[in-house]
Amino acid sequence: MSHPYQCVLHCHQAGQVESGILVFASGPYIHTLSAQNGRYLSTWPSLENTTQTRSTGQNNGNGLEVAQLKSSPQDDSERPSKRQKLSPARDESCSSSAEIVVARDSDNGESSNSQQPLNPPVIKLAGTSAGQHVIAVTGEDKCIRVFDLAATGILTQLSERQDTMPKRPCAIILTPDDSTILCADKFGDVYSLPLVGQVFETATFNGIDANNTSRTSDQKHKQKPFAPSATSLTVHTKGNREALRQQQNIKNLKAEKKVSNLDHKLLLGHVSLLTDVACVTLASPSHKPRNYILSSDRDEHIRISRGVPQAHIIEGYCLGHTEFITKLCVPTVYPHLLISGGGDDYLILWDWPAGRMLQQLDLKSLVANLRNTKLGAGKLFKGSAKVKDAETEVDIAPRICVSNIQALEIYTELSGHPRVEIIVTCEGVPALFTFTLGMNAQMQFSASIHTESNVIDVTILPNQSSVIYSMDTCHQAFSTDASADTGKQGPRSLVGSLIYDTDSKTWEENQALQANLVAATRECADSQLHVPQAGAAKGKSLRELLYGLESLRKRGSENETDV
Amino acid sequence: MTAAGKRQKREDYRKTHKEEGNAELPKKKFYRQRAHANPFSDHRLTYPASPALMDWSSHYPAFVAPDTQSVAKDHAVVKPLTKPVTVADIGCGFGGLLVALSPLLPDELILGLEIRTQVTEYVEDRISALRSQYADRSPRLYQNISCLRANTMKFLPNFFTRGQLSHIFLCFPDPHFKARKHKARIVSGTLCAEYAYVLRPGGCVYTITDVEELGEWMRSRFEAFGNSGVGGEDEGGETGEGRTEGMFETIELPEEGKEGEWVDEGGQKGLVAMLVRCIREETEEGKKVTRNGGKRFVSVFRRREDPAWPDEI
Repeated sequence: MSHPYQCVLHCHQAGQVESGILVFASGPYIHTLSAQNGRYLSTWPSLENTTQTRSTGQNNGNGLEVAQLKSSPQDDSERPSKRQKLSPARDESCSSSAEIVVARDSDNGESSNSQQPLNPPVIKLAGTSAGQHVIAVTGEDKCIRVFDLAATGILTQLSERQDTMPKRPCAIILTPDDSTILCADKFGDVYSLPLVGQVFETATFNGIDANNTSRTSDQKHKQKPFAPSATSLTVHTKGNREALRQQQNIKNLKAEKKVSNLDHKLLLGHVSLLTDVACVTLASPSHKPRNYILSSDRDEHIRISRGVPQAHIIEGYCLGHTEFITKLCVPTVYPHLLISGGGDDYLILWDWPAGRMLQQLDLKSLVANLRNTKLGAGKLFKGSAKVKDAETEVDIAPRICVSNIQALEIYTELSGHPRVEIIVTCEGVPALFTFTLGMNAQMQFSASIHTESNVIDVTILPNQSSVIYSMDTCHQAFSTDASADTGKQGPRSLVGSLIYDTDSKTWEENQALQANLVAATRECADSQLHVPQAGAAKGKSLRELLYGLESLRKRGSENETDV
Repeated sequence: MTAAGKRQKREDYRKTHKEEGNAELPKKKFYRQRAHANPFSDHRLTYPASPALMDWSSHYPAFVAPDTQSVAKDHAVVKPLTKPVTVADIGCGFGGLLVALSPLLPDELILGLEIRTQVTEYVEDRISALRSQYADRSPRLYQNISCLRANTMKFLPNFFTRGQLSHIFLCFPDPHFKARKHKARIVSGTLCAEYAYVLRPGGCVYTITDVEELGEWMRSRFEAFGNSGVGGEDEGGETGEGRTEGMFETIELPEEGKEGEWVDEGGQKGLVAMLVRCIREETEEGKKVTRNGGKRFVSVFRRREDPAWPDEI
């Protein structure tokens, strides 16, 4: 059983004639493949001698520099810092598939042999527009890694920022000039980080130059002894008074620990879990470019802020969603338009500089139609028609959750204005939904493209008018929890690719690429079988990795009076 | 008394209170609720998807625009008011400030926002009792105040548009003493952005607390906002490059007990002095501080104009 690709990304390197490189994240591994012919290129961390590279990587990355970083703001006598929540190597979650159980057993054996556990799974991938760098986020350890992407597809880790992020990153993008990473987190804050940070270099000089500011403020903080900010005048209840009396008796209480903020800057924040960010450049009245940051959250807001360095100024909001938002998409050729989706039954097309809703596009009925035609036919084989009816009635209700929205520009020879194909995927739905966005800022549904398995992630290949998508082979189509019985269906492919035919204006399978991609992914999967997969998600954790967005939906809380 | 018995008693009280034409002021003891609410939890809030969809007519019936058709917007029927809400008391508690502000700002619509259901209900009952008490003597009094349940840390932009408010009151907010809980404070570097958004240039934020450390915290956050950054000193904020002026300027305030002289001077200064006296003396917590002989730490910040875009400089 091979691990599905939870993230796919296409990087096109400026100046290269070839169509760039595809970057696939499979559990803790990152594979690179050629976008030109689908050939397998490389894997990070290296598969042949994983444990060895891991340990040397530890020495380079953590042993020297990171250790110094860690030790400087912390004192030995202080309280131990909060333990990271890492999922145990032994996965307790139930899995009904025999293959998964077997895989887990063998993993346990191997992981106990090798003391070096792998990284947690990658949750986000981002690439610079120049295609030179790839940024990978692993969720459980809140680590942001920046890689150099060579034309040969080999990834070289440039930096690993583990302790900088206070909360788990939820979305990661780059500013249009490729110099800065914007990272939105679970706590609602957006931070900026330099893409190529000097943090580790300066830290080795004992933090004399670049870290001066944070260090002095750190010392200043230390010099001030802790004093409770409450007084007998501000607390009144018996319990609180007692707590205050105890605090006042403690003489040498250390000051509260400061979060080290060596290279990340807080730009803006919502009081809600952030789900996506976008960075857009518009022409100003003075014809100079203006940057904006768009951020979406779980509480139905899309905020429009000015770009760095004025990100603290809110220009407006796009309000109209009634459920959590998961994805923002701004087409490059129409930068004043925004397509957003999430837990609502529809997508919204916005004129975002004006905060105006232009269109609502129904998505739920598209999913329901597809489900009825595909699943209805399939169930006839299984049981009686009655069961099918009852089940489909229940099945019509499920809510949808948009997992990805991508825009692909289609240039036709006749007109200078490109059409934009919008590709939308939903969690646990084996389909790509395509819409056409024209010059008149009107969006129209064009097709539902049924796929073999649930689509997980999708990326576009602009210069080939193609899309590449990854699929979930572990679960049944239309289901996010039922394991797939592979025995009946035979091997399913992990990836698929489509190409847009400008003549017929339809999407077709990109056959040339597809065959090579499937072969290459088999190659990846086969080589992966021989190495420890302690970091690979299974069972419940795999489900959370692949389908984590639906859990953002609010439940009506029952005991709300006492909160 | 058992919890169930207590709840029954509360329900009975409120039912009879409503039936009796609610001219009598409600009793606080039937509306008590724990003083702290978690601003990060979802609760079960009702809020408009956008400010345009907010129906204010039930809150300010005396200000519903006459002779206008109800505007249907996205399936919701909204009756427009003659004027927008311009004053917000965030965390209004039992509504002491609202009641005091009503005659002081007769031409403004004042809204109290409170996260606790029981307390919100108390303020609603209190306002409706006051309205019926004064219906004969001065029918305009207390028509310009109202209260609703909201989590403003999350949903302030759902109620107010850009630059809609002239005054924001943040009176005796939950101090959240632990550093781990500082993100839950009503004033933070990132929330200043939302206050700046809903406040018109020239509008003011009034803060008062009896916790000195919190007072300093709020002052440093507002003063640093847009200047040394969003975060303030210990939040890893963006450091300013070439910007010296923040988005808020701290206003000089009269000493306690001397507000009267300033009020007599009139003008903007007099208005601020009048409102400062109001938050010192009229808020429920302010009265409690007076009773206990505590201290009050007041700061007022005036919002500046938005700075020019980098391309305009």
